[in-house]
Amino acid sequence: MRHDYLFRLYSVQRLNSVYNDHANYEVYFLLKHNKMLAVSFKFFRFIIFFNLFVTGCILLQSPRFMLNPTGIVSFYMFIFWLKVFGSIISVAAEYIFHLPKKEVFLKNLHISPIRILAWLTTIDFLLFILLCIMLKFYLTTICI
Amino acid sequence: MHNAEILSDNNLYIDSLSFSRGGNDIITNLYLTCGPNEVVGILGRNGSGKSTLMKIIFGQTKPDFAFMRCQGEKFEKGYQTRKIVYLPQEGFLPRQLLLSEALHFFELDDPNLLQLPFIQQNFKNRLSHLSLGMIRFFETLLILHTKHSFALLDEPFVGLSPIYIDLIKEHIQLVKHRKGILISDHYFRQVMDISDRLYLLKDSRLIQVLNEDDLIFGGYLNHMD
Repeated sequence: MRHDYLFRLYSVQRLNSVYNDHANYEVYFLLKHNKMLAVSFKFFRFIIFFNLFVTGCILLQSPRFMLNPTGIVSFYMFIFWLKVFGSIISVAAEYIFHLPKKEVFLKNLHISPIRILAWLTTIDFLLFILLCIMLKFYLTTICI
Repeated sequence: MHNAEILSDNNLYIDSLSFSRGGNDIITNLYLTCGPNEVVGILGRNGSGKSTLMKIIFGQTKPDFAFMRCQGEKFEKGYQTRKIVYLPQEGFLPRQLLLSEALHFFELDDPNLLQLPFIQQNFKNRLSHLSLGMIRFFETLLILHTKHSFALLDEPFVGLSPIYIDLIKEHIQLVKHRKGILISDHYFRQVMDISDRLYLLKDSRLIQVLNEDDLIFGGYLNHMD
């Protein structure tokens, strides 16, 4: 009896009978064009938040460097090395500890794990360049 | 037979595949085809290279040499063709994922899969809240119902209760008309039931199997089975 009940519940005949109904088709393709973005925010939070943390450190420490005459040069060095080490650590940690667990999942979604890591690093790098330009603008027009 | 298969552009076609590890030949000069509406079963002892074969086709492992083609497109990594999906032995869905999210990510061409009671009951559950068997069942359903042309199933029946095994077999029969399936499992009778063609991977080569006697002769079963 129990078996029959379960079997009826899970029967593929039930699935077969509604096979041609595409009423809600669009709902299931909602993420189609945003898959890369959705996957990034869902599965690569570590690398995103770690790089945001590095950027936060740069911004929070910036006032300290403005107080002395050689501060701006030191500030640029601080930004450069913190960012370099931050990027290396975040990419290495993601690659070693997190990527192997989701490698097949990403590949089944046709996303190359290495490519998405490169994509995220590139976006982070571009945002960092933007931050540097804004800081440069701030230092030359407002501070001086 | 071979010429007909080579000319058919709809097949998954593997030729001259060789793989060795640490000086041992795991697979030697393997030839295998799978049609778009066909279930091909592969049996073999532990360590015979069944999983390695699937990993090579999907692009998880690099072979020493292989010529592989999927529906006329030559490839080195199956996932890059966007026509091949793979169910690995150890599962592949991140445990923090909701079932609904997994369905969204895989853009199922069969939205009415959602009407299955198993899916409806667990739609908003995380995979971490399900038992290992239920996760396996869901992963297998997901792989079977994606819109890809070929599915590689590595031990899909492991950890499943008999009723779920029967359901998976039903689903395989259901999707077979639009998908080629390469399946490997130690539940050899289940694999024999659903396979159109069956092979035994032994001594790094594929041997065609027609019945259980061939499995005994091939050293996969003993006479007591």
